[in-house]
Amino acid sequence: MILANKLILAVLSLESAALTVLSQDISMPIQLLSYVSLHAAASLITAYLALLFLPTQYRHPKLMVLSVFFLFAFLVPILTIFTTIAIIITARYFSKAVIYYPFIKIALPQFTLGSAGIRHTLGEAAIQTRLNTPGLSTEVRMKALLTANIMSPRYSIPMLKALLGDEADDLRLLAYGMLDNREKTLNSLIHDLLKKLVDCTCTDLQHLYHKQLTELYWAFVYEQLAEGDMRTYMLGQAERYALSALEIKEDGDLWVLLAQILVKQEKPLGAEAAFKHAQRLGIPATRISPYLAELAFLKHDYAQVRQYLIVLRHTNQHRSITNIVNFWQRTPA
Amino acid sequence: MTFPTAASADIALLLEGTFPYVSGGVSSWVNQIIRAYPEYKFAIIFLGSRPQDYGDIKYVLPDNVVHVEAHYLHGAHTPPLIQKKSSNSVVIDQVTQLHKVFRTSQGNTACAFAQLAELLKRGEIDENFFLYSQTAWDFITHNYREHCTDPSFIDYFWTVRAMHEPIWVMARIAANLIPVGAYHTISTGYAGFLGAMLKNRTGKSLILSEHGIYTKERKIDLYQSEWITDNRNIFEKDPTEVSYFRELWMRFYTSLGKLCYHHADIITALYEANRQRQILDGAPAERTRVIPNGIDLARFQPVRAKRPAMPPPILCLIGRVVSIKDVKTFIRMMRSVVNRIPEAEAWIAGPEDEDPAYAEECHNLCESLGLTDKVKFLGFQKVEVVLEKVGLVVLSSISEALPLVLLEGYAAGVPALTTDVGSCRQLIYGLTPEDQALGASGAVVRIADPQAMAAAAIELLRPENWFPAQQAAIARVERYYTQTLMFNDFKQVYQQGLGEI
Repeated sequence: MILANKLILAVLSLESAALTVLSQDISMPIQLLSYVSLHAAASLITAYLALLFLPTQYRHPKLMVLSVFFLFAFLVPILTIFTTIAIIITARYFSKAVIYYPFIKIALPQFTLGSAGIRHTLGEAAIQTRLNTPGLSTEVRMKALLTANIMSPRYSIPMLKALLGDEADDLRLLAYGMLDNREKTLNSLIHDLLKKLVDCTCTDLQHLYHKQLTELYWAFVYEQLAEGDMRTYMLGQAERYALSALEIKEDGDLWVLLAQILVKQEKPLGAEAAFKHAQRLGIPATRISPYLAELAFLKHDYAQVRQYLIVLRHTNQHRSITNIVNFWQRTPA
Repeated sequence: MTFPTAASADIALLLEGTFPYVSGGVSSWVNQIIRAYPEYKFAIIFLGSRPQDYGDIKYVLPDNVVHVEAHYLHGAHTPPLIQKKSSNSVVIDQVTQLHKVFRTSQGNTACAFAQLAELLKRGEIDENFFLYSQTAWDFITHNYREHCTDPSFIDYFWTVRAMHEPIWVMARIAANLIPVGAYHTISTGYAGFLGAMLKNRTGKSLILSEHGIYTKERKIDLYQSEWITDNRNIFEKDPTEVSYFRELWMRFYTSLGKLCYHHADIITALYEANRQRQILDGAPAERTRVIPNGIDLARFQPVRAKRPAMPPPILCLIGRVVSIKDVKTFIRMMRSVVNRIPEAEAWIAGPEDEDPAYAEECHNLCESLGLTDKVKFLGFQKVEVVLEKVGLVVLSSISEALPLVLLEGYAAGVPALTTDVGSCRQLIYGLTPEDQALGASGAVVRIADPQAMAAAAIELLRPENWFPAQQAAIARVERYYTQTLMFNDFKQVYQQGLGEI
């Protein structure tokens, strides 16, 4: 406040001095130059004072606000003082407070269909949209759900699981039936293989059965059928059978699968070693690199990520991988 | 085994796949009801699938059961000798009309059925006609061409035959049944169809008391069944449609349900949501009412004194080992529970003979999850004996109505963990504000979610949660679910059915 008082005094003194200069008997150019200099100094301080008294939300951009008030004070002397006071009072006491909320992360809104939006064609997204729209008739949602039978289980199973809590009885029960059938299939295959394994003496067949068991236990995890402790258990079983199979015979593909299992078990070092071993056994780098890049990413070794992805530049990879490769190539090292 | 016979009875109970051959919640309820009214003489008409599917009867027949008949819908009788049957276009027109009503859900079902029942009564349409007449053959082939979307005529033909086979069995039962004052069916389906036939024939009252919703339960079976074939190739298949035969069976059961609803004079449900579902499926609202289950408190109260001071980590599923109980989720849950409470055990107290294939799957699952020493299959047990020793009653079912076993657990001082099906939420958290004020008598989780179920079980077993749940359970059952309340309501139903009031 002391500063403001001093500045007000300075404005009044400078303006008085400027007006005094005009009444002095001196040469015209000197008189004009003295007046303009003194008035300009007074205007600048007036502008600064205005800035000081304005509410925070009107002070930005600072230079522009200063310039406006300066020009105003310079070009319209005396009157500006009253106008500026009026502006400050209005801004301080009569304007609405502006609240600046910090940016927050929000989820994308879910797209739901109105009945007018129903088409006869079905893509995976359309199925999901129909299933997520409780307002649609059970019959329409039921048809969408049945279509999940022809989708890959990896994509259909999370959708079916989400429906287990659905309000519509029929839908919930059909989803349950479909999930149960999938689990039943996997469990019965596991059971058959375990029985075969008991009596098997041929090492080639033992290797095959162990490998198949690894794949079946892995399917529970890959298709997201198992969650929580069941998932941990399935991963443990998959690892156990993979190691047994690899003890019998080297198998590049199985090393890749074992490495994937180890990734899910959050054992990155073992996974990396397994991937590299698979590569030594002849598995092409293009197949291994995305996994190694992922592991490097988890270690925050971004230079290494780029290195692994370079291999994939000219290969015809899956679209989502191509997008990742393009992204890492565009960003500077 | 010889059954009692009589020249007449007051009430004929039409029982499909339940008392006295199958144990379980519905059978216990039937037993309870018969014993509650010694003043009435009961006739029992048991409908089963095949004789070899059932062993001896599981219950001692109460003294007021004066007449028992057991009939089997499939493969129990020799078809009539092959002989040429003359065609009858009038009959086939009426059958066509009835099928049209069922297929399109338009038209007067009751009227069409009444005509068919009349034909059956007069013997104008019989098994010979269906099996051997040119008219019936033409009718089947015509319908195949018109409506079947599955290319296999052989499957179509045998599906139609299997569907119609029970009709002649029921026509024979209806023709020969002793005179009674009222018919009481415990489900729609075949028993409900028989009830509709009997009502049509004699004009006596038909009472329908549904526990689960039969049509819904058949749908669950049909969605999960693997025996129904789909012969469409990739060019014929529409992925948005269930296979034709699956749909045909569903429509068949839905139609049976509708017929029963049309003919029933009094329709009872165990809780409001099921009553609404009955109305949605075609039951006239004014004939419906809710009568909840109730139990004999005196039978279970002594169990409380025999229980250990602290809740034992034993989780018990009391029920038949069948897919609708989702026993596999219960087993999977144990994998998580045992990881955190190594001394925990799971008991499955219920018969395994109803669906041996499913029971085998459950055993295999225990084996593959390394739980053979933790999950015990006890077979059929006396509920009171089991409830003395367990910490929680668990129900992992995908469909339930108002499970008696929860109430029995409550009366014995055992809280419950259930899936969110039927009226379980109401039984755990209470229905009315006063009921809710008693507190939670357990926990409810989503169906088929072993992880959530395990977490809830572990929480509930903590003494600080378990004892308040036990108090709420006892208070709830003693206030709202006693058999006295249920018996009073059913007395009124029977009096109304028999024309006593």
